[in-house]
Amino acid sequence: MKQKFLKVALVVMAFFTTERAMAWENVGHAVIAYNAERLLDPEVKAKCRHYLKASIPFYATWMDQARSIEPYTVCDKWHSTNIDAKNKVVVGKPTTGAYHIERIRKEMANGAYKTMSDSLVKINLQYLIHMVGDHHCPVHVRWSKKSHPQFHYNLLNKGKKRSPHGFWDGSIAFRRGKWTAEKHFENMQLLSPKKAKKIQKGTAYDWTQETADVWRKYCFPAMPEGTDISKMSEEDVATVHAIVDKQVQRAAYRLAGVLTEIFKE
Amino acid sequence: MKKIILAVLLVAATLSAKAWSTNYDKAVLLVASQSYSPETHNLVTEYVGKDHTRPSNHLAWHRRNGRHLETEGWHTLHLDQNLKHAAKDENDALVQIDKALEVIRNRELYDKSKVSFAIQTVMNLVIDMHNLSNVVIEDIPKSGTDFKLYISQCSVANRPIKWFEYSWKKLWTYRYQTFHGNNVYSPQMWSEDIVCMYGDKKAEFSAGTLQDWATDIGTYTKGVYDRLEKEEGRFIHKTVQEHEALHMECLARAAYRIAVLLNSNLK
Repeated sequence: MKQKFLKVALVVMAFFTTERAMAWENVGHAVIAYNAERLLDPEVKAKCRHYLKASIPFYATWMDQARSIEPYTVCDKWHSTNIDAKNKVVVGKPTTGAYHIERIRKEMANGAYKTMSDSLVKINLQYLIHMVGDHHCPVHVRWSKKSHPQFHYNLLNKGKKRSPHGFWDGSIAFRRGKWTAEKHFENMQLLSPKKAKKIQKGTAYDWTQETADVWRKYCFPAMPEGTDISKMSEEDVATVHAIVDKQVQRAAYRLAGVLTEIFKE
Repeated sequence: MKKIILAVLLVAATLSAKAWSTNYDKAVLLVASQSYSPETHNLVTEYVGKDHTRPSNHLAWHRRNGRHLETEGWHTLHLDQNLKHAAKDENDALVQIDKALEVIRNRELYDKSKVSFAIQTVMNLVIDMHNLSNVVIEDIPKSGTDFKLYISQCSVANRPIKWFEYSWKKLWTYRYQTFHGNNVYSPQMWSEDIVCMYGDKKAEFSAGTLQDWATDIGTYTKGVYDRLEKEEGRFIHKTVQEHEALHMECLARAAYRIAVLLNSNLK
């Protein structure tokens, strides 16, 4: 009787908590965009908000919401970028996100955004906000099954199969309870202006290459095939957080850098 | 053990019955607070406390603690088929806002706790009357009830649409929050978005009477029901996404209207 009562209670609890579980992957984007906005100087932040008619984090997940909606289905493939058989980022391919980050940066550079319609500036910002974040997520580099079969595997969660993609997408919030974006910002290590400039250098291809290396050197060894997420020790969780927090920091500084490069007079 | 589980279930059930998620409620009150006159600001602090967002779930909080159980039916707004306010009894947001405003205007006649309750009731119910799922329209039988509709999941392009059953109430209370990372998106962040999007419409939203506001929310609500009927009870993801602007606008309207009501009645 007691067990039956507990089962019923758990089913009811699951009903009330479904939404929270569905939306974890949106947390990372919101955090990166929020952190980036906090790093901007007031002039650049005001220009971003002027064109977006909202804060930067408001549009952090827009590309995920819009990918199945016309006319934005064109951007469905822009969430990641390919890596070749020699572990090198594929450059110049229009079906990759890094290509479009660089395209938009180039098109808007040197005040060229002023010649664009407000709606084009807005949509370009929406793309950048999401794509810069995506390209720092360790599972948003595309490894071909043929050249890298070892990266196509499963983790476990309480003995059941779980994709590494799902895990790493949600890893920013993993075992962190109800952290707000403000709390995530406090958690981010702030850089000196000199170090910030250094981290902001390069192109989206360089950043994607770095993310691919992070996957190969850190994520994959930290969570090999068969790792049961439910059985991870505090030390294992700390390792995951160290990797992902560094990626969040890089993404936030780089997004802030890209927006500054576009709007700073 | 049983007692703990039942308590948790009770809290979960109460939360699900609320008008908006706490984050939205608090965001509305943050925006409202930014528009209080200095006099209103001081009086709200005196009667409610330093945290002006505390009353976000005021009535539900009382009921959870076994008090003011008569307030259960106060959260809905009743309109006739011409979208004019038409309450049949006292279980109506606008009726109760009017009563609370009367107490606020004549506050010297009442003790502090009664005035505090009235101010918080205005805050709570103005927010609630702007939630489309709380609007009851005479010739739309399912309005104001928590019926089921079908919505589609946002998914990768060109894949078949997957429909799933969803609660009408939850669509207007939680759904949009999930798009932005749920609790990671704080009330402060929502409040900044409300101001970014609709700050320039503050004067427009604040104009008119409570009855006018009831009608304009009714007009939006009717529009959404008409569309739902046309689309045979199914909102594709695109439609849900399109309605986010309306959802944000309702939050903005509520915020600026709370401010104008308190500014004029706390004078």
